[in-house]
Amino acid sequence: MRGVFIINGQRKEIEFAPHKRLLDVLRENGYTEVKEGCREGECGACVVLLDGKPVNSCQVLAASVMEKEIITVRGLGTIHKPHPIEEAFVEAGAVQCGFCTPGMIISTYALLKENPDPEDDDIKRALDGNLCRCTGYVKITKAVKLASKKVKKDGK
Amino acid sequence: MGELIWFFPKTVEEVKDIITSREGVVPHGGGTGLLRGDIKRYRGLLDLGKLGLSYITEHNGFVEIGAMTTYGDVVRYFKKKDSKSVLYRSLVDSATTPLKNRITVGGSIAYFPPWSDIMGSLFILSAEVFLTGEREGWFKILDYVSNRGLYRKTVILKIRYNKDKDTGYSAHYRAVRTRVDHPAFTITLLVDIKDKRVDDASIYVVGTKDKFKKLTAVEKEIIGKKASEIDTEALNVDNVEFYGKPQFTSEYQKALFEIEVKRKLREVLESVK
Ligand SMILES: Cc1cc2nc3c(=O)[nH]c(=O)nc-3n(C[C@H](O)[C@H](O)[C@H](O)COP(=O)(O)OP(=O)(O)OC[C@H]3O[C@@H](n4cnc5c(N)ncnc54)[C@H](O)[C@@H]3O)c2cc1C
Ligand code: FES
Ligand code: FES
Repeated sequence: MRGVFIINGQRKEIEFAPHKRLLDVLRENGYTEVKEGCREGECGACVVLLDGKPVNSCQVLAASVMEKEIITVRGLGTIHKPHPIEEAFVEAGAVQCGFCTPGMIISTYALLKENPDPEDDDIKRALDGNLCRCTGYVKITKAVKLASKKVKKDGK
Repeated sequence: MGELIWFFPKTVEEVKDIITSREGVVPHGGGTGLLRGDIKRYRGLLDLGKLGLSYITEHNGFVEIGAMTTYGDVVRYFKKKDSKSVLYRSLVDSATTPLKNRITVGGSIAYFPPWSDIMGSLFILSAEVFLTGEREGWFKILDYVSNRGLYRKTVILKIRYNKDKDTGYSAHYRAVRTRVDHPAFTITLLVDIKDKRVDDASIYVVGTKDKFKKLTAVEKEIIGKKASEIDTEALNVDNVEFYGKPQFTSEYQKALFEIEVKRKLREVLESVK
């Protein structure tokens, strides 16, 4: 089947099999920044924004989100023009292997949109669907707090 | 087997026509339950995303929730409106933030897994489901889950419950190893207090051998008593059996269940001023 997806602000017409998950459709079409971990909704490596809300793209059938707005981590910032959240993650040392980072950044972005001044508990809750096997979460929590300051300053 | 066909109805009439006339076509809510199985075994999926079924309204004393409303929508709504609501208490810690944005109320009722966080509260609230398809109209949730005839070739369009049902002290327990685990079972309770006495009580455990059970023995024992005089440790808890699950053995669940019913009840009764 063919369908239009609005990915990172661009309309994309994509041919895909009707049983495909959004995760696979994205990765097969070059959006490899969306990571595949468990494929079961447990790890959060595949999290993207769907109409502004974080979802596990491995738990979404692609056909059901045609014409909807999808934002991957690449839609927030680039290597030359990083988003303040991305800068904060680097500065706080919250990235080790980096596999969980795209999902973490997306979940942080969604949190700060809703709550620009999150407490520790709000951060734990918002990032509860994102697992990290490297950092132990302390630096990730610090990064989110730093990001909160940066986003407020930059108005993003 | 042919290629999976998607249907995107825009009216309830189309939904009814498709679900009653086509074999092997099932509704698609959030897709999180459907994806646990082999999606290719279906001939078609009837997507409910274009029918305006994502809403929560309150009118004529009823709270009405569209079938496509997600757990996340419910939590956001009640966090602002009434964080004491039993639905809020049941869903706030369920699954994870990104999953909550996908799991729908309608899909969760139809799917009703043993780890369901929503069903206990819907039983307590005596919720009703509105169906279209081979059966139409409002049906009691308890009838819906026990009568396959209501499930086959029907689609849940919305649910409702009387607001007056949600006025007491509520609590929800999840038998989990970590907060984001699937619960092995859940206990949901709502206690109504008048003049410091238990006026009414409704307690359900979900995830048992019989899928779920109403704890009538505990309810009977506490109704009419002064909240401060109830010795929760001395309560005779209903006999409930569990299947062994990957996370806990059946014996462990039984022991945990008895402890946690008493503990949650004590917490609720102690919060009565
Ligand atoms: C990793 C993970 C963890 C989870 N943890 C929890 C948890 O802790 N607590 C909890 O409560 N849930 C949890 N869930 C959700 C639960 O397991 C189900 O996946 C979910 O309730 C199904 O809802 P859905 O909207 O995705 O339904 P779908 O997958 O779309 O559908 C499920 C079934 O219901 C049918 N259906 C869908 N919508 C309707 C409708 N409107 N009318 C009639 N039939 C319909 C479908 O045909 C299908 O048979 C978890 C899910 C995952 C993936
Ligand atoms: S790959 Fe989607 S949650 Fe793990
Ligand atoms: S940095 Fe390696 S998984 Fe998080």
